[in-house]
Amino acid sequence: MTDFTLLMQSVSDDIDGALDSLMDLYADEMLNYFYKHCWSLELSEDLCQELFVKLYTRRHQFKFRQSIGKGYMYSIAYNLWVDFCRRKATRREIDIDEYQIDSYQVDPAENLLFDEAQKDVAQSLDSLSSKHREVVLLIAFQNLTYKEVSDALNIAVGTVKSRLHHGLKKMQELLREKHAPD
Amino acid sequence: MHQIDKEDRQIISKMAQLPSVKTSSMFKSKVKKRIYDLGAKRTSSTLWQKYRPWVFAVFAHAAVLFLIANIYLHFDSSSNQISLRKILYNQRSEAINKADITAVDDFGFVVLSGVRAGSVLRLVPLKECIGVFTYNQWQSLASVTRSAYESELGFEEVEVAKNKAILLNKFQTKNYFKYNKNVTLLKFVDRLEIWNTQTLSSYLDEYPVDIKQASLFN
Repeated sequence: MTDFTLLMQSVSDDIDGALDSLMDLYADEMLNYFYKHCWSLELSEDLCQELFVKLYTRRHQFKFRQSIGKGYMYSIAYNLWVDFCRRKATRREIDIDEYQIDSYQVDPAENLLFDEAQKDVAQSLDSLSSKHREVVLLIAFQNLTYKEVSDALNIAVGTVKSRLHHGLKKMQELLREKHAPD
Repeated sequence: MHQIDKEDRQIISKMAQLPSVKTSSMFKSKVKKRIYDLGAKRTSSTLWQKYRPWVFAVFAHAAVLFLIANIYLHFDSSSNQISLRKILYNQRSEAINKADITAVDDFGFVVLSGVRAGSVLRLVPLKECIGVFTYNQWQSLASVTRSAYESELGFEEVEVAKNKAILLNKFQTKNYFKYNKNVTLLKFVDRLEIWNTQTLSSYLDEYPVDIKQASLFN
């Protein structure tokens, strides 16, 4: 049984302080998950807040899905992000199937925290389709296992591997193009 | 099946170098406050809050145990009362069988015929009982011993009925009828017995009657 599962069980049993421990352990991780999507701390905090509120309000549902462990938290986080994108897309009448997040993201190129190399990597990541991007993010940044990603996104493990492969190859191509001599 | 190759590792390590962010304490407080407003339990900050459920549980258990003990003692004392009454009833029956009884008063004292009115036979408060003698036995005691009983132990009067004698101490003799409600336990004796503390203990062992309980008989 993972730490996350134990903590969520405690939250679900309304044990004093369980929620505090859950937040202390996972707030940074989830904040970074959202940050890697939008590169905006403010937006990441909003989404992260929503995530913990949802984890609390849906705490009694966890027992039905506790076998997926941390994948449960990531599935909520992913849905939050997709919902957010859809709301934005609807407002801006953008195609939601292949949403282009740069319209409401902070462009990495404008982020003063990034050096040139980091900007290139972030831009190549952003240029991936949402499906590939999500898998790359979860495995490369969040260090989730294939199984956890599979549970979080509700896709087969084989699909996870395939998307990771294509995502990474696409990023490599983009980075090679950027650094190729004119 | 996809295997992460060298190029993949390079790009992953590049991604790992991207800046990350940390949650501020203000952010955490804000989120916690929002969730607490939804009804989540806060971390107990004091020992009292931490151990409060245990304290309540201990008190609740103690209260239940106290209640059970009281109920048990109530029935137990009730059974003692019954037991005591039974013993005394048997003793009185025995006295009635063996003595020439004219009356048994309300307090279980046996009044014999052939003796002076008011004389009582072998009925002595247990806790104050020193000795009960038959007349002949009393007479057979050395006069020095009798004097010692009379003076040192406060015996004032020897009631004699046929071959039997009763020793009552000063208090009993003077206040028998006045204070007979304080007489707690009656004992029938038709032979010589020196009731010292040891004898009383033996008697109590035989008839395990609490003297305090015995007062209930009255």
